[in-house]
Amino acid sequence: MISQFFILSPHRGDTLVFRDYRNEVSRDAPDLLLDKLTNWHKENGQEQAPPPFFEIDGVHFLFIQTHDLYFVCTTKFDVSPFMTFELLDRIATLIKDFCGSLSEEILRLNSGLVYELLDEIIDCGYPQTTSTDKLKSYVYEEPIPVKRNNIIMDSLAKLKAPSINIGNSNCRPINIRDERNSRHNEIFIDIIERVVASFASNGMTVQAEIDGSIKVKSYLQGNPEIQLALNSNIILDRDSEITDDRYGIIFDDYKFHDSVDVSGFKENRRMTIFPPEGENIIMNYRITSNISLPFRVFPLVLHVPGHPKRMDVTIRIRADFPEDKIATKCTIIIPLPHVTQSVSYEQLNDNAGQSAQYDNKIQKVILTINKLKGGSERSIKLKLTGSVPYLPAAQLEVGPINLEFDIQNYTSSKIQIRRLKVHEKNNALPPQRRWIRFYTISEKMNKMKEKLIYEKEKNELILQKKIEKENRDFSTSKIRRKDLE
Amino acid sequence: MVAMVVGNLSFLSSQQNREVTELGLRLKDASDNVVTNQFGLQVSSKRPIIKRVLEVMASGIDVSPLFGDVVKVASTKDLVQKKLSYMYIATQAERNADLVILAVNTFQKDLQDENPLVRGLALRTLCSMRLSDYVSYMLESLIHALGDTSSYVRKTALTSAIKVFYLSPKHVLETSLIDRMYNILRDRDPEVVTNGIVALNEILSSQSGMTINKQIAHYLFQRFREFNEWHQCLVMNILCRYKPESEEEIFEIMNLLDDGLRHHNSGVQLATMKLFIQLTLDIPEVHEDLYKRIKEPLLTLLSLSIPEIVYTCLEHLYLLVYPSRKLLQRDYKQFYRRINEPSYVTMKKLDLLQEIATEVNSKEIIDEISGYITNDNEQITNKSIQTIAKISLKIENVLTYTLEIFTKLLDARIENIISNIIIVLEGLLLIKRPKEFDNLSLMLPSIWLSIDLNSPAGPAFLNLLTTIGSSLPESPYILESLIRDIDHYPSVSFHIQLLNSAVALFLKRPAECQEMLVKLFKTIIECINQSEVCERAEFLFQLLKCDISMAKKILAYEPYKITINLNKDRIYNQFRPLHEFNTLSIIWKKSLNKFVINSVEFIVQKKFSSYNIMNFDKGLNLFDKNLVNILKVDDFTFSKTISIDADTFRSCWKKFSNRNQKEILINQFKTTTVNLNDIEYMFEKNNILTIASGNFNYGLKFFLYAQEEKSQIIFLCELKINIQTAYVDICIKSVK
Repeated sequence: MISQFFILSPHRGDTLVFRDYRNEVSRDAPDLLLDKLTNWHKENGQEQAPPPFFEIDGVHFLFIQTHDLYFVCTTKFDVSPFMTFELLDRIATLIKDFCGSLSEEILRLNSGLVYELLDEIIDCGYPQTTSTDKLKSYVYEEPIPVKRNNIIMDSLAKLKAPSINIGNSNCRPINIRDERNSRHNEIFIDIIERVVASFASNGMTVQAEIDGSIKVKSYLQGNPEIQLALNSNIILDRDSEITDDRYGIIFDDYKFHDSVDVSGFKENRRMTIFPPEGENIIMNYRITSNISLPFRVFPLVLHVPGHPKRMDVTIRIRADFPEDKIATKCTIIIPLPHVTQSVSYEQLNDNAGQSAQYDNKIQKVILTINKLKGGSERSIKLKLTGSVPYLPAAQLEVGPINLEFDIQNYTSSKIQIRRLKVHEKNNALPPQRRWIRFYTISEKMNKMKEKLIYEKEKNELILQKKIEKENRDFSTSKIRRKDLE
Repeated sequence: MVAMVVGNLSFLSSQQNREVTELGLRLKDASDNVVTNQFGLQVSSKRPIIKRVLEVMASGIDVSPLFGDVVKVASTKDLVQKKLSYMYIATQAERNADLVILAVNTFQKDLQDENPLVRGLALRTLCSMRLSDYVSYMLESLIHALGDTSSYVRKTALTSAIKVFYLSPKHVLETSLIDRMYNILRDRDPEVVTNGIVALNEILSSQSGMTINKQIAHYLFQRFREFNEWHQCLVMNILCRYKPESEEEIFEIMNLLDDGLRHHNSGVQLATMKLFIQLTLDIPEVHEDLYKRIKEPLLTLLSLSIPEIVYTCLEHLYLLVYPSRKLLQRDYKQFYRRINEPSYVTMKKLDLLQEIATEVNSKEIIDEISGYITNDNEQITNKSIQTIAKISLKIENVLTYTLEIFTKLLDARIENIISNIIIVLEGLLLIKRPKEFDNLSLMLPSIWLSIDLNSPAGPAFLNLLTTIGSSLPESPYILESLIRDIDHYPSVSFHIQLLNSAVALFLKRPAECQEMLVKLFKTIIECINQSEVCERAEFLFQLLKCDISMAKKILAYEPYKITINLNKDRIYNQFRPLHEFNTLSIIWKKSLNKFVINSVEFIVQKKFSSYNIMNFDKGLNLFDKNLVNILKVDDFTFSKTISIDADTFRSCWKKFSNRNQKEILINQFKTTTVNLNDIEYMFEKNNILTIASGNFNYGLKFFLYAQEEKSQIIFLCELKINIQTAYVDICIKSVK
């Protein structure tokens, strides 16, 4: 029972889209919310995101923040917050699917299409449908893309050096109109894994967890059936199945999208998917055992004897993945004590493509390594100079250390797609193209122990694998794109 | 300056007016050029104009003068243009009631269109107009549409019925519409079924919703898998009211819906959980088991969702801490902070960690939280320090460890951290003996310069200095220098604490402190003109003067044997049962009940069409005795024919004089079972009618009225029931 839906742009305070479904809440709700948000930021600082609920005179505001925009709904009823947030999130995804991407500019250009969608997604405050298939038959407006220079070169560049920007597999709207007119017949599969891990200072793993999701963005025509098989050593119920734990991937919990037929999953880890067009997460899983972490970071903090204003921080990074893999774009962010005035660096081993920078305002060193081979190790020594002598407890302020990177052809959980089969019914359609990517983003945090050493890391690794049935090269896709334009 | 601003504003508005006029001209002039695009769709040349009109409207500019022109372009082959025009018509109809007649023709035609989308659109727009003159036309179209061949039109008709109901409840309830809606529940199309359910439920909300009997419930359960995810949420919520007859039936239902716990949509997951919780309330062993089952999905939501859902999920897990204490104790690592998570999520996680800390895990939890303290976010720093302190209040054996950590942190000399630690340490002092703080006390002399003594940390520091630091050689000197610079610290609470501390230290170390104390008394009496401070000085002075040993006894520091007060959240969580799972009430920690004000007003209007108000001056004590008397009226009767509308009530409320106002403790209500509808029904049985009702802080609030039969006196009553204290606050008004 949503009263109104609107999209706010927080920067200029504009209401980009506004739809009133029930006429029971005042029209100036967006302004009220903006006031509230401004006040909140005044009290809590600009960087802090406000909690997603506000109540003003019996009107409840629920909102999500995505793509730098606020997706808001108001209600006077005691609604289900979960359903409402899911709905707001889905609306954002749908707009993205139908318009190609999501930004202030896109919303302005495609307001007609957006209102058409909103009219069908919600009626009288009740969600109606979010199925792309149904919505496609209801909308009549054509999407207007934002003009970007060299969009082809852009996407080519993306393929060669995958960006860590998850989910940007493609910025093209789904085929709204007659399918024969579209020449795209593609499917993108992303396996995204977030690894959370914490270590004690002796290197022991205290906590490790993988939160994975399989995201499918489908432009396949005629919604063909897809068969997807995962590793056969996945263990679904750790209590009932007696397997060799050392090799098994144990799912603590998992869930599937509506479009997945899971009848075969328990027996042979196969699922049959009828992916709706657009972007959908078809499976989520959580793993807490048998995780091999790709990176270790060993920091060492020492006071320099006889120089109270100096402190040395040595960071050692070890790549614990096979030698034939290369991690790219590693970024390590190390917070330093607040009295630190300047930092100098000493490179300790082969340091090609490595650079470090100290940001005085936020008191953090940002260390970047362009390429890091599996099995190798890097070290850097930071010599800190403080404005006043360092106290023993200054060590507490070193950390948490964040680490981000990409690795090709590697996953932490060892999950793989064993088989991907698309049952094509119509031979007249252009050949399919399939893109499969694996990502792992891991976040590690470490604890303070007797030695007061901090160690926190965040890893991101990407593995991109491309399967092309027809083995077409990029030039063909270039031509296709031109045809479209 | 003001003139300039005004000038600017009028300039802006004239510019806006010009644009609106121009748009009107363009709508009138442009010859309509409809072309067919490559997809076989009709595109009109006027589409961009109407689009612009809507953009202008969205920015808050009055575009109502264009109504007539927009109505004309609404009849077009271009579907996008039609949709946009209809959107305009729906929002602007109220302002142009006299022109709506122009649009009726278009509606008429579109309701017969061969395209079901157009029929649905026309119906939706027609019923969105808030014009009671057209109600019978709307109803006629609605009933016709319920028999439409297209499921799209049928489902639209059902939601439109809700809109018409609010426009004129009387009409809707009097026609055969409700019966027809019940009939359509057997429709083939699942979306029609679910829309029918939600529409009926809302229209009948004044009778506590649609009837859910066994037949309907099982019918819905059987068709459940056909419903889409959103409709599953909605229907499940309504099905929560269904009470199965046997345990077998309960298990049957749970087996049928079990997949819901693994659904990708957290709304469905939570709705399923709520339903299961409701179903198993009377089977304790299954209920207990259920918590374990719903725990894993909730934890998965924590790691995989958007932060907004994570936050809501944490609130729900917080609720689960109470019914099942051990449930989350081993999952504490799930609530550790993650990189890049918004601070509001971290804050909530800290709350949860505090609740689930036990003797086994608390050391690890404190370790983890202490890592957040040197974070650059001040809010999280403060909250982390407080959380650690609260955990060590709860679990005694970690106190030493906590103090160790605090000692290290104090040594880092970061002002904000020091101040916060000082404040929580003072809190810990309330229940712990000073000697346990020995190591920490050594820090005090070295950190006092880093504390902002005018903040709440100032008095806290003084208190610490003379309790845990009373044997430090530096203590008297610190106090002395503070007394010397007393002008720098204007805060009253600081002065009072300074007095207390100086006297306390004097009692322990008289020789060193006598001179200082005299100086302090002198300074305060001479220079400080805060009466509160002077009174305290006077009191302490007299006390010392008259009996030193007595003073020692009175002022001696002893830890209290206190139990930690329940905070607001805990009270809520303990009092509100789980039936509010998956509602906003959980977020706000208070029952929002049903927001019935609107529908009650409508019902009142429906039942009574005329109103008369009489002047008599008897029966003043009718409401007087107590609430029970109001509920079981014996010695007088209320008239059945009275009716007052909301506006009259409001004006009478102002006009009438106060007859009686008192607070009564009632035992009749079991505090957890109070329900707005039940109470209203009770009143109504006695011809006391409710004009409005809703939630009120921790309770319920009603505005009631009644008329005594013989004397014809009208009574207005405001009734507040505090659910937690079971007190009823009652205020009655009538004519003199």
